[in-house]
Amino acid sequence: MPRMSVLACWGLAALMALSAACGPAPPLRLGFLGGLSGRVADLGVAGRNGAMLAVEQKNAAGGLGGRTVELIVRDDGQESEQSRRALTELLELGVEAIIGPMTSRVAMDTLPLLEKGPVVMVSPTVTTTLLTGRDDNFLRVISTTYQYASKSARYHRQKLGQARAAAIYDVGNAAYSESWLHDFRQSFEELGGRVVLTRAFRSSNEAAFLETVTELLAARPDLVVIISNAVDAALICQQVRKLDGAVAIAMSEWASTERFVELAGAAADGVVVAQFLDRNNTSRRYLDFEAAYRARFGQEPGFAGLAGYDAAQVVLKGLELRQPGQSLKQAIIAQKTFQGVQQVISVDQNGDADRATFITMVKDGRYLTLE
Amino acid sequence: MAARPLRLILTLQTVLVALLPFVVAAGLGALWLPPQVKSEIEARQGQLARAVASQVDTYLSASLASVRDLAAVLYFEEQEGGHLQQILDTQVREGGALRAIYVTGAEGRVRAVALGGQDHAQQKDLLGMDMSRNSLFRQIKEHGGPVWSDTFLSVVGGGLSVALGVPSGRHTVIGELRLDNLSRHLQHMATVPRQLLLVLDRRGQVIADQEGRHTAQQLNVSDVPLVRQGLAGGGPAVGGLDFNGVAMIGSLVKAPSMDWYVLVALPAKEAYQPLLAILGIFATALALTLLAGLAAAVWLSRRLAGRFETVAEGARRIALGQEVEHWPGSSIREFQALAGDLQHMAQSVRQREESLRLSEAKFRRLAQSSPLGLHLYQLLPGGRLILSEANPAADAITGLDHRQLLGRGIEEAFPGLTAGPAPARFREVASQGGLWQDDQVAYLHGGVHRVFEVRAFQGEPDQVAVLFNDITQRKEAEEAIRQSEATLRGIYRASPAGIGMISFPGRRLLWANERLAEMSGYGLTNELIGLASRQGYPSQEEYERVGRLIDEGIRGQGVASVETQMVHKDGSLMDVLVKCAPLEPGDPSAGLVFMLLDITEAKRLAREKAELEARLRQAQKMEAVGTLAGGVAHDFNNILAIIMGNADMARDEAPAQGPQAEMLGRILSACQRGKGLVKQILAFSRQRGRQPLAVDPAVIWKETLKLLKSTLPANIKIEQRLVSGGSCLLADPTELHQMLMNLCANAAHAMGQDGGTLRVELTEVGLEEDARTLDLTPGRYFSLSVSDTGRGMDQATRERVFEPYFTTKAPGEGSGLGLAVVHGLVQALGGAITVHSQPGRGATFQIILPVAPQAAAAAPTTDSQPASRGSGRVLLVDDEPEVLALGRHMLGRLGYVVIPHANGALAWRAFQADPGTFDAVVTDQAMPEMTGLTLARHIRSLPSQVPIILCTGFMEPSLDQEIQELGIAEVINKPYSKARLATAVQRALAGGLPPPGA
Repeated sequence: MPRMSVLACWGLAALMALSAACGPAPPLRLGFLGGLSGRVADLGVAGRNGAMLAVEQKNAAGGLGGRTVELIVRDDGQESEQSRRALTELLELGVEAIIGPMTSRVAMDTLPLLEKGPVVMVSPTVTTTLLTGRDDNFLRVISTTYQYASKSARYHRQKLGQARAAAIYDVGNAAYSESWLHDFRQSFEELGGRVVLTRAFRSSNEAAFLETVTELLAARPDLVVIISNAVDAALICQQVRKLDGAVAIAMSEWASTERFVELAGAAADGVVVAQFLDRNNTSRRYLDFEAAYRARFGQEPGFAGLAGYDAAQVVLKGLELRQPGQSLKQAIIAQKTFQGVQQVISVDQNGDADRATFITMVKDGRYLTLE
Repeated sequence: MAARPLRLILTLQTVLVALLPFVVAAGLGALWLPPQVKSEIEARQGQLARAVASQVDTYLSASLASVRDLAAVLYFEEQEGGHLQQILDTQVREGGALRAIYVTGAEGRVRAVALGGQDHAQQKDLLGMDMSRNSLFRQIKEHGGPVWSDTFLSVVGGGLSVALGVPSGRHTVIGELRLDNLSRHLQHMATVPRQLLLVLDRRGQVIADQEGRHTAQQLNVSDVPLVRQGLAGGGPAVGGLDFNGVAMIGSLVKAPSMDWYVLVALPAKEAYQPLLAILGIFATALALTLLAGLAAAVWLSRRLAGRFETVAEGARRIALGQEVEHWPGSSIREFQALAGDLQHMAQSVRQREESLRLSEAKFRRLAQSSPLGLHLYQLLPGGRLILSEANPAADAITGLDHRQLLGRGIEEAFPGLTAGPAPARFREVASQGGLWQDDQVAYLHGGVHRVFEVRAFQGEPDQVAVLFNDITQRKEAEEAIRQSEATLRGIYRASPAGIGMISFPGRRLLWANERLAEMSGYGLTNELIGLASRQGYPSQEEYERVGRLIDEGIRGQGVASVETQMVHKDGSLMDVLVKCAPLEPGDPSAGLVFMLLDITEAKRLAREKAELEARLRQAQKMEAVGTLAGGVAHDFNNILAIIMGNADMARDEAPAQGPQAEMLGRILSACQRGKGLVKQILAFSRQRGRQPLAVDPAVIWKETLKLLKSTLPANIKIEQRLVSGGSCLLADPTELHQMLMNLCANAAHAMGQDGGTLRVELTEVGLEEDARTLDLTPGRYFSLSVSDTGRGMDQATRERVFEPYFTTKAPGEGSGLGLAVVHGLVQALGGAITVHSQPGRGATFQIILPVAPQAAAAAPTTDSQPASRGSGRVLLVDDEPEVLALGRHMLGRLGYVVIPHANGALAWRAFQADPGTFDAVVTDQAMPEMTGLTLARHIRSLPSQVPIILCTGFMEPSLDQEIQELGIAEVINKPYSKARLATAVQRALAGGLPPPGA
């Protein structure tokens, strides 16, 4: 009896004072930085969704080294101050890496904040050449504007025989658009074409394009080049088709989202865009990814969703392969190649990537890969 | 079990009692409260979600009404151009929630657009815009009715919008609804600060939240299980969820009018806060109660423990044998009772101690006066066994002064025990208890081997008491008894007689030895013992006879001896001699001891001896008869010789034909028959009258059969066929005659009173294989078969038929030697005899005798042949004057000069005087003073080879060798005829002498 009393009392004490045993290992934090609101939100939202899908799949498979991966999302608002604030917040939360940003402007605004630390950003869609060949904490899984712009220029000049191009571009993302225009002009003119007119605009909720398009068409180009986000590009296409149903339209890959096709309507038909996403790809990996994305988010992934997914996979792979004493950047660069959803992504020693580029055309509301 | 202080036990128990209600309450609360709280939370959230959904519905309904109204207006009133624009602008301005209104044509181009507060430049952009690829436009076309779009980022204003399209005739009115207002509504509806309110579209994308943040980011929460469940089921869902790392409890409901869902969730921590508060209160109360209870328990336990201490002190004093004058009082009944009980216990202890002391004194006196030796040993740690006490009897029994041994180890005090097991056993008993006893404990003391009976038992732990007694004399007596018993058992086992003991008067077997079991056939232990003695007797009468004799014997001489028969278990009888005597002389009630001797063999031997003696007497009788017969035959031969001789001579002088010659011939024939009878009589007496000759067996046996016809009964018919083929048999005619006579006598006996047919056949056969079968050499043989139609013989009889003394005749009817004689004669002749018979079918005896090799049959010595004349001087010797005269007359008539002498001595003197004057000597054998052979021996002592002819009525076979050695020319049987005599003399004179010893 006495022994039982003692045991009972201790048992009660233990019941009343539950001590927390060692809990599960803390999650491995990754950050996502992208424009989730405003006119360019479709890019950021798709990229975020792609990254989320990759993280959720990783956690479902047991996580990374027994730890769950937590994706902390921050909206850069496509605005400098907001983006820097968001990045700082992510760094303070102790993220291992940042997937993003989605636009070259934000990349340029936020990269300086990473120079001193080990955190790298792996961008799904930043293509500016301003960040090419630099040994910094910026890595990407996409080729540069040069790739897309020059391919587009060659196609239009050599394949379609267009010689006069008029361009309209968004200076709100000048790091991208100006880079793209420069590369296009260089290639187009090297091949004997001429960019007869360029007009800049700044994307906003109040932006209007009819007047600017009218000006462009007044230069009688046989090719209108649009370098903008999908919403603006759709509206510009609509205006071009109102005024000229025949002129060819080329578009930068930034706008090559499903939102563009939806907003542009019939005006999107015939628009040619050089991009890395082959929506006609029938590989099992792509089809599975597409099905998983649709099931999760109820939407088509688009190139942004695929790029976000690829970027997240590169980061996760790098973390998996990282050796003690090795930084994530070193691990990624050491790995060199990564299997993307549709193709192998090659990352060089500066973190720049190379992947195949396709010439696509919108037809009947769908992107058709031409070459 | 380790003891713990009472204070501690009481303290813990009190604490336990104090805590138990709280623990029970807490447990019940933990089991019941959380589900209740959770249900309440879910219910509240569900209510809020439904309220929000209703608000959303209301929000949307207003916009829906505006667009519908506009569509109706356009439908019923065709508006174009500026008027239409005006209407649209008014609607947007007054609608509030509508961000923009588009009116498209049937092809999907924007005909009019109104933007709330937007500049006209943008309006121009939108006019003419192709919305044909817009999913909402396509759905409206398909549906034909109002359709809500999925959320999208508006080109107007950039925020998240949802559009409602309403067909209106050729137009389609699309109102773009801003959703940021919805978020503001949710903000007002949130009741708790950290509460989560989300409006989700059908894809799980957040289209409104009270903070607006998730909306702006187009967050898709379809991965949340609760949301997935609700989206899949289309109905309400409640449960836990994890949102941004925070565990929450949520409720999801579907908006009534749209494919939107409202999720209301609250962090679990905050949801359960009331419960945690209650638990906190419980915990606090428990802690306080614990402390208070602990304090009270300590104080109370100290008081109680103190009282116990006081009582325990009193108990200790009692244990030390001290008096306790004063017991502490107490208001606690149990303590008072305890004190009273201890007082009572002290009194009882004192009384028991006194009783114990008296008892110990009594037992000590018993131990001191006990005739048995008593040792008490103490087992010390380390195993040393010390003698601690001993009684006076120990001194008397052992002869030792134990006062000198107390305190010593057992091995030291009693070294004589070290060789045995006693010290080790004592140690075992001392340490483990129990009892050890041994009545063979040997002890060598002072050169004397003594045996003790020892009982060792544990008195107290580590103490052993040993009782012992000197049983040396008893052991010696037992040993003597044991040896005696062993000897007796050996005698019983080895006894050739069955020995047993029966109860009296019950007469049941109490004991038996192995021999009795063997004799009776019963198992010694399981059958014989207890068996009634009546079982061993062949009959009740025999049992009673033997019983009477035993009783008489015991009463008279104290012992009885009776011959009887015992019945074996298998039913066979055994002759036994029973000797019986009571176990206690004069008192049979203690039982009767008996001895059984198997006298079966002895009796059998006695019977055989009697038989043999009878046979011997019979044989002696027969021999005496034979001897008598021989003597009679001899005398009769002489008589016959006279008759025959005179008749013979009278016939010689009588005319050859005529009645005289006939009568003399009949006299001679009768004499011949008489001579034949004399031969039979001599054969019967086993005396050989003749030496083997080459004879024609047919001739012999025909004569035999003639004789038989006159002797056999008339109802026995004799059939004969005797053919010898001119061959001869080298045999004694007498023996041949005897052979057939015995066979025919046996056959006649077999046929008995009924008579039958006796068939005799003789043939000459050649035997090859058959000879070997009969153990004969192949060659020519005579086969004589004698068959009868008598009762026949079985196999057992056939096998023994040639055994001497074997007979089926009644005692006195035959000696059993006839066929044995035949068998012996056949064997002696080198032949074989067989018998074939079946019971009831007569018998056939077949005799195979070898044909004599190239020997002419001896001329039948019929005395009817004329005698040959001769010349010479013959010394004739015969003690019978008539025979002497007859012989002289016969030889004289034959031309010989006869010098007769009536005794051998005279003849010898005559011969000795002038040996050369005699040409032959004819002498009788059987003469007084000097036999014929003695005379011949005398003659042969002289250098004389004169032929000697010996005449005799019977010749003993034992003289054959002497006859040969003396060179007797011939032996002729009496009575002899003149012709026979003449032939013998002539042959002797002509053939010369056989060399002596031939």
